[in-house]
Amino acid sequence: MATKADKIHNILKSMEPPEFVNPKHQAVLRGQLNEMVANKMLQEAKAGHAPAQAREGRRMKAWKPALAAGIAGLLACGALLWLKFHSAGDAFAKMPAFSLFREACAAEESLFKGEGIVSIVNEFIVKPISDPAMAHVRRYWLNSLAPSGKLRYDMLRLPANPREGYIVEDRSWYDQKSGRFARVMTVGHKAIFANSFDGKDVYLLEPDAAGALIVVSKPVAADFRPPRNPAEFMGITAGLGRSGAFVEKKSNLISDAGEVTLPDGSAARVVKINTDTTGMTGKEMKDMKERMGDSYSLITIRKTDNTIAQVETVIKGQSYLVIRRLAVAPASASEVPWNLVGIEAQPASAQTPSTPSVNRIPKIEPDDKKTRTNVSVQQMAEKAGYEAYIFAADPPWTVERHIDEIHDPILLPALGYMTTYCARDGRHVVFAQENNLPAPFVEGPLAEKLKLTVVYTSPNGLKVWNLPKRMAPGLLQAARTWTKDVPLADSAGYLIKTPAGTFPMLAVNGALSDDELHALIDSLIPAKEYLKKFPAPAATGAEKAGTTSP
Amino acid sequence: MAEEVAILSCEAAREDRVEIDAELVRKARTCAKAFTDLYEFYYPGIFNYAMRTTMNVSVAEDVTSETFLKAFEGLTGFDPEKGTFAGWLYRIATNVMRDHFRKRSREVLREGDELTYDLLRVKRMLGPRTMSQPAEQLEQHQRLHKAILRLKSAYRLAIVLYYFERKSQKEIAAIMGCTVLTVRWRLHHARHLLAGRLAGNLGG
Repeated sequence: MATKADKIHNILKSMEPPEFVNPKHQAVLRGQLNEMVANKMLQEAKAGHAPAQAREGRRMKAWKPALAAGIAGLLACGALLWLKFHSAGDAFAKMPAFSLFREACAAEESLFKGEGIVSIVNEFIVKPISDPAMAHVRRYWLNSLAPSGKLRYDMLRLPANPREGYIVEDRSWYDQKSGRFARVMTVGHKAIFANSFDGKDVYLLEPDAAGALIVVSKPVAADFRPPRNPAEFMGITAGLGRSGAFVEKKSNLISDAGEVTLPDGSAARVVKINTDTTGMTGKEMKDMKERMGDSYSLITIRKTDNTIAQVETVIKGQSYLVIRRLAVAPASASEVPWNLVGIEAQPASAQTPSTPSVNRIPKIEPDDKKTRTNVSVQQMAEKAGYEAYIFAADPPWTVERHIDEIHDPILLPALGYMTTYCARDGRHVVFAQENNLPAPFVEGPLAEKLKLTVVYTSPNGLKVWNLPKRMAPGLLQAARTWTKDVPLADSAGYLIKTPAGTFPMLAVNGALSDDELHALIDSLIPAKEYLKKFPAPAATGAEKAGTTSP
Repeated sequence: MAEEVAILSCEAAREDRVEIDAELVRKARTCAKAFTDLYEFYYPGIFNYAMRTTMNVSVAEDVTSETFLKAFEGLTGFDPEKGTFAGWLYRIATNVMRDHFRKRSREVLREGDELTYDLLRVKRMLGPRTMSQPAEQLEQHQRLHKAILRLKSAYRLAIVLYYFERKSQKEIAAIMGCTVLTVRWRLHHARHLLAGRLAGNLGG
């Protein structure tokens, strides 16, 4: 028996401990941790002491909580009396920024909870921007209601010529009693977006085969329930994230930005919401800062009733978009276009590269996780919303492939995909694509700034630039969950222009010969074409959910 | 010579880590955000430890989040003079797992409770180093791992900590709250139990 026990010892000693770390779980656990830390911070901020002190408090003997409760009660009464004898303005001015923002979100939600039908009018002010790239990619995330009862993302593209601007009018109606609603966004009285629910059907303004916008109605699903909180998709802060949950989780991002006087002469306070870098490492944060610069949102809150007067988004220090609340008033049912009848849509002929439009991003819902790992080629081809590419054959020195789907409504206007090919010798290959870079920007200022030079143009119409040395390790770092290896300093990076007009990036953890690069680029094909060559097997439930790949 | 250099640099890295941890813990006591740095570094180890001990993804997720929650709440109780942050975290995780086993009112996993390597391979949950092992070797390891999961928790934890987490017997004693002699006895007894259960199944 002793020999066998020794054998067990030897096997265990030589055994490589199994590894189970998966980015999906990391994302889940990081989310839990962030929530936990944010909640703790909120509690601490409310209690006005640090965590260590909070724990000291918990160590009080059994009689002390009763005493503490009594003191707290007295303090609360004192505070109420103090508030009673001071002006409401003082309390408003002294309220912490995150509490004020929370009050404002609650006020926004309450707009949709009143008796009768409410009519709300906002305007989206697309301000002139001199930077052509930024003026071109301006956008806003809308939520619309699908017949399933779930909310989904639509992207409102707000492009403009440099130094030009315009206004989009946003009108909403909501009937708290029946759950009916209508929302119509117009430019010059022509609708570019419309979504409604008349109690039976859901209506959406969608493009027909010729690109003209028409009203499409769909009966609601059997288990349809109207959204409980319409502010989540029609509220002025809807584009910032779900208002209620947002303030709980992101309180550390909210700060005071002073007081202002509104055009009607009334007083208001401004709170600033910084870009969320929760969970980002130093390198990711640096990249984010490089990409987004000084970026934040400013929420202007009225002193009189804590309602939100304006939401302004600032990107790289420039005012990017202002959403202003113009009116909130009761409405009668007869004046509401519940079924969008009578809506005059923007004609297809009016659509130019500098006119606003709405892009429906298929199958993305606000509840979707930010990253899905191991999605299939088929899922990528169907969901991307642009021509996604993949190597027809995996790089010959690699042994396994992982496709991760990245959904970041703040940074990416469409889904991003990162395909990682792991190699036993550490020469991993990462191919990342999204649809965020406009050609005039890449081939103009970006190429100039990064000193890009064309290194290859493939017979299948792909153009390849080499990237500066520092950029490839960044991409390889993002794929470390799969590769496990630290990116090499001399790894190779390339920017590619596809015939579809997208600009994917390629990184290899090591040197790549010209022949190898040419073979890789020549092998790139649209994912849809790949599926014709290699039809995917019928997806299992797990595959449909995006946890495995074929 | 090269080995000495490797050992020395390993020791230096460990000492650096202990210092970094102590600093992060100090910061985390007054700034919750600093705690996320500790989490980022230790999450994979704790999740792997929980998976190696339970082979159940949802239990491992619960154990990991519970461990970090308890660590966050109990940061004032951590004394760098008495041991490393890593050891303290493993001790919490071990206690969380013990609680879990106790709540389930059975310590021994039954057939089918845990995932198999094959299923984890399909779910892409096995790391590249594990996946690149020859199939025969992986099969033998899986048989052994399954047998480890059938051990009572005290033996299972000792084996996992010693052979998978590569902790010393002294470190295991601190983590499990027992003496080094007890650890030695548990390892010895566990190896005999495994040898008995795997008789004729070890190949070679």
